Amino acid sequence: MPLYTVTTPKSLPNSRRVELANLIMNVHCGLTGAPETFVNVMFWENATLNDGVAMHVYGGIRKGRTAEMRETLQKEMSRRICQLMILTDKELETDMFEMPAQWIMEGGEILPEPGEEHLCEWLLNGHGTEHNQKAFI
Amino acid sequence: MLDKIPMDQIISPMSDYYIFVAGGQTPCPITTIISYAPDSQGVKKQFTVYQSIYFLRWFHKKSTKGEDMKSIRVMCTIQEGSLGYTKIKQLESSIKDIYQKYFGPDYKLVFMWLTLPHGQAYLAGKLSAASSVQLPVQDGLPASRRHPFMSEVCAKWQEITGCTQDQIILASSDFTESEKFQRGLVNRFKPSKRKSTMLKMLMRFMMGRFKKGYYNTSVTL
Repeated sequence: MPLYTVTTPKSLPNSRRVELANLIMNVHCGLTGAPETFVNVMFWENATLNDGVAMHVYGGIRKGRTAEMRETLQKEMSRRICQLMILTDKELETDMFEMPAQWIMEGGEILPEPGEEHLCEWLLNGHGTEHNQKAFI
Repeated sequence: MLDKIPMDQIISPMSDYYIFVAGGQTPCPITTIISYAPDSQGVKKQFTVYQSIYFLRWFHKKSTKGEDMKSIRVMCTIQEGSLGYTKIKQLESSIKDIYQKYFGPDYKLVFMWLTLPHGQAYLAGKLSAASSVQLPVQDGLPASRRHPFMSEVCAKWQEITGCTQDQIILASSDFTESEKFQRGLVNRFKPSKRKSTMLKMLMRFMMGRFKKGYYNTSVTL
């Protein structure tokens, strides 16, 4: 967590996927303060979306933040993705789903609540920095 | 026919509710499923899907061996080519055993394997090698029971696959919330295409089972 699912009617080039995955990570972490190693982005392709929609982004995020933060996150995410992908507001749909951190296990540990990452020893010890990532081109 | 099937039944194909509405009696139409072709259109396509629904009913009754079993849909998202048949069947068997050990023998786990083609999953902005599992549990389960269960599942996953602890992400949410999450995923599709999209995925899961021995399909629709 977070797990962002990006759905498009057509396949995106690899370079665009990388850009988008990084953008989503930067926006999410920049606003929430969450560690980058938490941010998963998955791409589904060849989907039939609503008329006129070129991309759908569904964010599964940890529960425990304010409604204002969630709204800000969704709006900023939309704005930045539209900028990057050169989409209008109507061509992008976003939705968020909140789930308690206590229901998620990553790195063999239950996720910390939002804002308590600094208390999380396993995270401070370098969770996800090497082992779960492939060397990228 | 398709319009008469509520969405709930299509997104939970293994639930009793779905099977109930599918109704009717027919022998197992395996040949019908094999004859399904992606380029089929119109009447022929609908007829084929209809027959497949009867197959689901037959399969579910045959596999649950009783009316009191509760079906739990387990969604596993893995990297394409990362796990073979033997490991997948070991995972299915072991996780089922753990689940029944913690929550009783009345649960039947139905594993659905979603494969991610290379380049379609990222963690921290880089290609990811992690697998994620959605394994729902009963609503309101206290952390004192939920967390040991989750730890055991993750440990078993590591033992069988040989992955590191960072390469398995487990979500054990309440049933109700898990269904809401899945519904959110379905809602991204155009309303008039949701049923047909879900049925298409269902068909592909089943074709995957015939080909590989377990329910599987790709996230590329």
